[in-house]
Amino acid sequence: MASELERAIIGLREGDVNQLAAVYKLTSKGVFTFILPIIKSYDLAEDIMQTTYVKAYENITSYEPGTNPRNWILTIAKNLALAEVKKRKRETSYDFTDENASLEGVYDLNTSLNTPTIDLANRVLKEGELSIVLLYAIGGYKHREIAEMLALPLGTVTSKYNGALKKLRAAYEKEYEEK
Amino acid sequence: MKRNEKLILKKLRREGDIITPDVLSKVYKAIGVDPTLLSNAERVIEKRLRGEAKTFVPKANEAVMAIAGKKPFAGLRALMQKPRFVSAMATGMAAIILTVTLVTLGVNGFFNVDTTDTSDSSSDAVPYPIESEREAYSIGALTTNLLLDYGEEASGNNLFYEAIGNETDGEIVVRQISPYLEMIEQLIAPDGELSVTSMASDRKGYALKDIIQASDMLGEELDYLMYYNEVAGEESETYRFVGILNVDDRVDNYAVIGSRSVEDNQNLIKFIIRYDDGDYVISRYIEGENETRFGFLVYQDGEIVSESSIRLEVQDDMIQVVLTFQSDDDLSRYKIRFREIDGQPHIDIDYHIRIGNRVRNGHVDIGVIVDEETGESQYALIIKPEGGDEEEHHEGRGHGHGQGGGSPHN
Repeated sequence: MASELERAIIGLREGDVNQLAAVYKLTSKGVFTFILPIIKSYDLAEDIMQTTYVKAYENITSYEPGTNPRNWILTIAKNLALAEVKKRKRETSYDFTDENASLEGVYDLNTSLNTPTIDLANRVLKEGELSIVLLYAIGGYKHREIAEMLALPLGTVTSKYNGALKKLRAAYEKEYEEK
Repeated sequence: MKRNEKLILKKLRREGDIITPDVLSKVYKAIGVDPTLLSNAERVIEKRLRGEAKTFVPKANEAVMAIAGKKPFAGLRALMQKPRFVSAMATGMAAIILTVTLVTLGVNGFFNVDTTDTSDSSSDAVPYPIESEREAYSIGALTTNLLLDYGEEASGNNLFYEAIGNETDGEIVVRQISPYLEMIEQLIAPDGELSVTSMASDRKGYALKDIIQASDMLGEELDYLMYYNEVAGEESETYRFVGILNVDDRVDNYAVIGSRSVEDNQNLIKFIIRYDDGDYVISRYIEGENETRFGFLVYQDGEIVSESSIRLEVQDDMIQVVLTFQSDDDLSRYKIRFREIDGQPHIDIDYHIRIGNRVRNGHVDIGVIVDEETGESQYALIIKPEGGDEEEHHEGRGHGHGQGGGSPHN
């Protein structure tokens, strides 16, 4: 039986453009947290995520019913993200030390958002821990799916996640107590 | 953890790819170790993270929203049947118009506006020429944007006007045509014929780029950039396009979605430009042999607030615009041209308004007043009803400045 996402994508493929809203709703968290660790910049990741959906719409006929619809979208996102990384590496004018680059934290996040816990995680966790936390808690992926994505043993993912939350809790309590 | 438990865990992890998470979880719990078990404090942190997800993950941008939220064009016909529309006039639509120039004619029966009534069409007028689909796209996007921009700036005001019949000619005229003035300026300015330059895109995600250059009555130049992709539809001679429109290097872009096709041997271009989820303008352009006509629907908060059509013609080497609003049996029609008075540019309008049994005819002269100190400009409208008293009204002017607080000057 087709999943809700697959039904939406098939509907989109058949010309019902309104289904793109459902596709976005069902996958945007997963797509964004998938792109962010690759790009490491909130703004760039946002651009690529939006482009992902436009590309998905434009190339909807390339989706084959019966295949994994989320993987199809993630493949588009991954290709766009990797192309962007490649492009950035080529462009010597891109200065990662400029004022737009992250001064604190693993990723260059959008600090104007009211996301204090995520901002704290960005500051106190290591990159490997942060990506797992974001994929699991924000992206909604299962530990096993994250393990496949990151090519890590399942146990490593679960223990890193567990350890990251303990670290985050400690930092949260410290920050809270200091205030 | 005891050594034997660690060994079991190690073995399980090694075999993890053949054990489902559920089974693994049961095994972990069976041996008294649950790596996913978090303390209450850590659960709170996890809950906080999940709670921030909605804020953290970007919302769909305009381009995605325009695709995702756009109402199927097939539904337009039904929407237009709503009686409330009718009187609506105004507004927004115009923009689209542009789309323009494409084609002429058509629209019969699509909008409530009576497109078969050509009584205002000058016998020696010819359709405004559009050279290519790309030019049509760009002009359509530009005009649509002007209407949308007006609605955006005037948000919260009584923007889209529905004539109720007991007002003066001036009140009706001002409210109906104000949203269109900037667009009209750019369409009829004698020295500012729209030019469209097409080239390969230099922006990621889009294959095509058009530079649209326009100018207003005072000669001020305006630049629009449109990036888009066009893909062939499943039916022959049908294409979809998705893009963005940037106006004068502003930070925000407008999403542009549309299609072009051939129906009943007529070229047809449909457009939608969105400001946000509920505020957008839909245009429909049909190219015929004798005229170029556009129909516009303006939506605010998801409701249609205005419905109009525009016909573009060329007469005596000058572009003239016929703007029509129709609702049920009520009709307003404005025939608009450029005129120079004492060396100053003016918009010259003849109007015919029929609301119920009352018919009003008259003339409107619109000039531009510039404050030499601030540089700000205003429209000065002088409405001259046949057999009635002259009325004067000043209306804010400025690209993207909306209606700018008009005021009567009697």
